[in-house]
Amino acid sequence: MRVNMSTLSDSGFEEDLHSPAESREQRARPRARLSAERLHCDYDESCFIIQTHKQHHFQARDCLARQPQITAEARCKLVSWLLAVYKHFKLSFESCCLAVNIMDRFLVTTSVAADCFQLLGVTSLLIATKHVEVCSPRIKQLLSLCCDAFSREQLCNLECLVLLRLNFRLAAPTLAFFLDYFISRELSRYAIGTEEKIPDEGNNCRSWKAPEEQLFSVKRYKCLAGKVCELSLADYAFNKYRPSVIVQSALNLAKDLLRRQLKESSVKHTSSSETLDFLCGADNNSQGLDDHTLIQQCTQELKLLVSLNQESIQDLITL
Amino acid sequence: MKKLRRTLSESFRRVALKKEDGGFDEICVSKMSTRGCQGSDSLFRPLDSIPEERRARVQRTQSGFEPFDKHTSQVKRVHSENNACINASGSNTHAESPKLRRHSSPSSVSPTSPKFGKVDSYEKLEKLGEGSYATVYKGKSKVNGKLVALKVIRLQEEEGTPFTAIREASLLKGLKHANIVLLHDIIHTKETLTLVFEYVHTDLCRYMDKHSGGLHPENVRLFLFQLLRGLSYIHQRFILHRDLKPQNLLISETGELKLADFGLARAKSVPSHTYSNEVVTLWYRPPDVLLGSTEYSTCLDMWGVGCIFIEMIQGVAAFPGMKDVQDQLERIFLVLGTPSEETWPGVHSLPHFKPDRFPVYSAKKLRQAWNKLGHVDHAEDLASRFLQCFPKKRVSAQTALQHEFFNQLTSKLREISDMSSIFSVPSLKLQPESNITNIKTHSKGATCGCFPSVFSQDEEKT
Repeated sequence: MRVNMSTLSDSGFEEDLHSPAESREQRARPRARLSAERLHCDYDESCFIIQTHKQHHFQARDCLARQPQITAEARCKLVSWLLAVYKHFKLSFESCCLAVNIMDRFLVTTSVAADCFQLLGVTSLLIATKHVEVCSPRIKQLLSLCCDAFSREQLCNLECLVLLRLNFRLAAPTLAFFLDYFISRELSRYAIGTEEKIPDEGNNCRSWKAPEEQLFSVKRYKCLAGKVCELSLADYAFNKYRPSVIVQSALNLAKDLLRRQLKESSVKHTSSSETLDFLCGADNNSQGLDDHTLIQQCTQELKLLVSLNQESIQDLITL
Repeated sequence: MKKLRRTLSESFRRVALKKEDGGFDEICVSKMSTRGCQGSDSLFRPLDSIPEERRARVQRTQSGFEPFDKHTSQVKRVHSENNACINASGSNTHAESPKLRRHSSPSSVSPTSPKFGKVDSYEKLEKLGEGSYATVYKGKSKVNGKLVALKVIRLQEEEGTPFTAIREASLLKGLKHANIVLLHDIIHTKETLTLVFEYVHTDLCRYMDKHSGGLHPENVRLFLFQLLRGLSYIHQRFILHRDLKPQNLLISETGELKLADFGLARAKSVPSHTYSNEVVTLWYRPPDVLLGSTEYSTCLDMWGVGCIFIEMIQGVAAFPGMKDVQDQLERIFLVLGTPSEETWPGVHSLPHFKPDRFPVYSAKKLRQAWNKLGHVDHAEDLASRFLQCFPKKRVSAQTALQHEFFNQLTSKLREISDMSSIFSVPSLKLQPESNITNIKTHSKGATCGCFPSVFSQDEEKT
């Protein structure tokens, strides 16, 4: 679905909020005893719609087009490094996505010399963590990760400049948000489909215990899709897609990869393949508000990306 | 870790600057598209000719940023005067005073005014309050003479712009709603970051102090409706306020209520994510958070709404804990009953829950604790929906707006746009409060809403 952005005001999207929320309600109706949770689901739904529409304001398409020194290759190296840094600090994927978004949007406004590109990377990460995390890394730690090539003052000045250039608009919809949203939606559908409940992490109140194997395959599916999203951050070719498109494509691809692997393996994983079959059923229905052909195109490109990065992803598939 | 650090950084530098791919395998993602590669050689080359890498980098940083909108090749420096950047000499005194009150109000400094973003566009008047990271002044716009609230944030030299300022500014930028305080302007100077808000003349805390003994029920209805309206708007955007309390609810002369102080708010992300559990003022803090849960969601704010609702009706705080977390929890359980696995699945696995720590109280009717709830139709039922110990049972802001308690309000209210005040509906008006108190009365302790601690200790032990 193409969203008509011109009719949407800055302040609200209420005219668009209702139709998808209603269909959600219908799906969830049989489960009356989950009423309280359903209320929260409805929030999720409206959040999702608002975030989907907001993407357009935060996209940094062709951010390198006017950069004299920064190339797609350099961006790839920097983002690959940032991926390692965010894991090193055990930050959320959200911070990492936001950092890349902040960096890209800054690149749209300002040309950056190749030798301070890394400084821009850590500065973006610092701003993102200040926005997202409970605790952000110390500036000192970030500087030492850059081998103290930059000074604290430089970092603080750049932080200030980035905030000004972005006009303090930081709340961008991220891959992490959509990944979480689509997966939990698929799982709740799956739970309804099998008249069972999938426990989500940290939720002890539910009594249902999934067979271990099933849980495992869900976990692996999440990991794999997350990894594909991570790879896409580093490749400038995916800069043209909105996060919601990339996530849906990554999920399709992850299902595809796991299915193929299950077929190849000699051992029978009945419940795993059932879980996957169900999750696969979901991608026939249009999941979000995005153009289907765009998702297919993106899926193809992701497939290529994954095949180029076999080593890093192999253990996730065959685990 | 040191080793990792060195590998990461050195390999980055090596690859980025000298185009050597060796040793970078573990962290470099092979790129799918190669179209960017051809040009890279020539662009990196000049750097290789600079002998001292480090020095070269630092020099570059000072001179390497060139704004695209200038259309010239002239190098624009980070330290340019236009950028008004933080300098290392920022003053940072940390006056810790927990009660930061902001008083802003309706005025309309147009964001497009010529002097937008300049510090001298505003005249600083008297100081309104001092917080841990900011000082709030009343101010006046020199452009149109309207009053504003200036929240002046000191920039720390150690860690750059404080995260509270970043969150508050970036979240408020995206929020445009009649029941959320309006951020007019952001001014960056060397030592400070100033957020310019609309000026609202009082807040709910002061309003309740002035009219002690409970507010006019019609006004409670109007305030609560506006509070829920604002919350429903931010919750739909994945934002939790996390610090609801009467001081943070600004009240204008016409009775408009505005949510303020988003320094602790943040965009809600992954549900499994943990937030710091030290954020909500104890009195308005939900039991799940008091018990150490870090699984916050929108229900976090809804508990605070319940407490504020009762405080408005009864005239005293719902759970005015005197000592610590334990005391706060006992006050709650005394009214709502001590939770068990049946009433609250998962409560036993919360970090601070110890079954022997709390006497077993049974749940009571809310009007036994707060008698005035019985005097207003549907008030008790609505309050009980907010004050649920089990977070998942708490009503959402969106649903609460549909509650019978609001039946008397005209249906026109539900059709107004986000930016319209509820007072744009003709029939609605703030009622004059019956009691005006100048001195704080001792009624606080005397009303039955407050359980004296002696009383709470031996009541209903089983």
